[in-house]
Amino acid sequence: MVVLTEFVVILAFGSRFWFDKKLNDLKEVIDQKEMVVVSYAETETEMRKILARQEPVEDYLEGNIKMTKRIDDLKYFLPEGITLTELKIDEDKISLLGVAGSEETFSRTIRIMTQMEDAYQTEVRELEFDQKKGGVNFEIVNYLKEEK
Amino acid sequence: MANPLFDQSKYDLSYQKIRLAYQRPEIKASVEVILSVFAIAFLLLVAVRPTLATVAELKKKIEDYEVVDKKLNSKITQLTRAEKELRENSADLYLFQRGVPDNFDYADLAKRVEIVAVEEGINLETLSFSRADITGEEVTVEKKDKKGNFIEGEFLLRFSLNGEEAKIVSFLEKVEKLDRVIKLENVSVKKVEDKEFPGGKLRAIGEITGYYLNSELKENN
Repeated sequence: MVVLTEFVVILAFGSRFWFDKKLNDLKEVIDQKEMVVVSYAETETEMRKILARQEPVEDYLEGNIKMTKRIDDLKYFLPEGITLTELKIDEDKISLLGVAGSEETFSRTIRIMTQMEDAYQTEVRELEFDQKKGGVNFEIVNYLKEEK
Repeated sequence: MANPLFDQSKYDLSYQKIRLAYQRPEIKASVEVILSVFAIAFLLLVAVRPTLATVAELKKKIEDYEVVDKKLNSKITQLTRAEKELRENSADLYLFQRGVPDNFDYADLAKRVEIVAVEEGINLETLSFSRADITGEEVTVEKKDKKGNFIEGEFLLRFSLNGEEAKIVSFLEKVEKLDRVIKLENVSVKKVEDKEFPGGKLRAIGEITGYYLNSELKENN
């Protein structure tokens, strides 16, 4: 029994030294790798700057209001007889203020606005029937889906 | 003859007695068992226990260092890849510098916007820049990289201009496509009721966001 215990003691000492050596080797390896990382400091700074500069580009690509496309779409889809007096384009909505020549033209405009591909809600804010000129003054707001 | 310090014969006798008693098998066995138990307990307490504690501690340290080693490996891989990519794209990197310059610079941008307006035949009425942090502590909540070394600043450029519809659209398109990264935030195009534009011009009012990078700014906690 004592011999067995002594064997355990020797084993414990042996493993202690083995772990000690392993730890020291690992420390040396880590020191070397840290030196390598330090030698890349300039590259890291350069890369971080580029990544920081990339963020606005991503912002632009994600949050771009696509003004030209929206104006082209409106020009293409809006029916004849619509005169716009004001057009507001934001990141999340398009607002149209104008005059429709007739009620039918106005209802077609509403239908077109609701069918726009990235619109999730259409709101008619103002609606006024001009009895003298026979037109419809309106303000339509299209709320746009957030791009992912 | 001098008196001995202690009586040797007395101890000889005791020793003889102990030796005789030890020769009895039941006593011999008991003594050996007791001594073995003490030896084992001694070894366990003095040698094995502290060694095992040290081994456990070493094992924990090794595990931690292994994690550090893995992270360093991955960092070195990333840095090697980054260096390779930087080398491969070194010819185009100046575009990033131009897109988001190092410091807030309004004069150059204003000049370029004016040039585009002249080229497009647009009448630029106003061009105003919002506040921008240049040095000191960062006041606005801006984005920053993970290390916080480079703070990405933003500023708003408000404009008001008038002209024909196609020219306004073309102007805004060109401004957005400048090599400087700027984002058209909103635009409102309105028919000008004024008598000064009998030809039916439009007035556009809007906001553009511009960006710059500033390592001199400090994070305001």
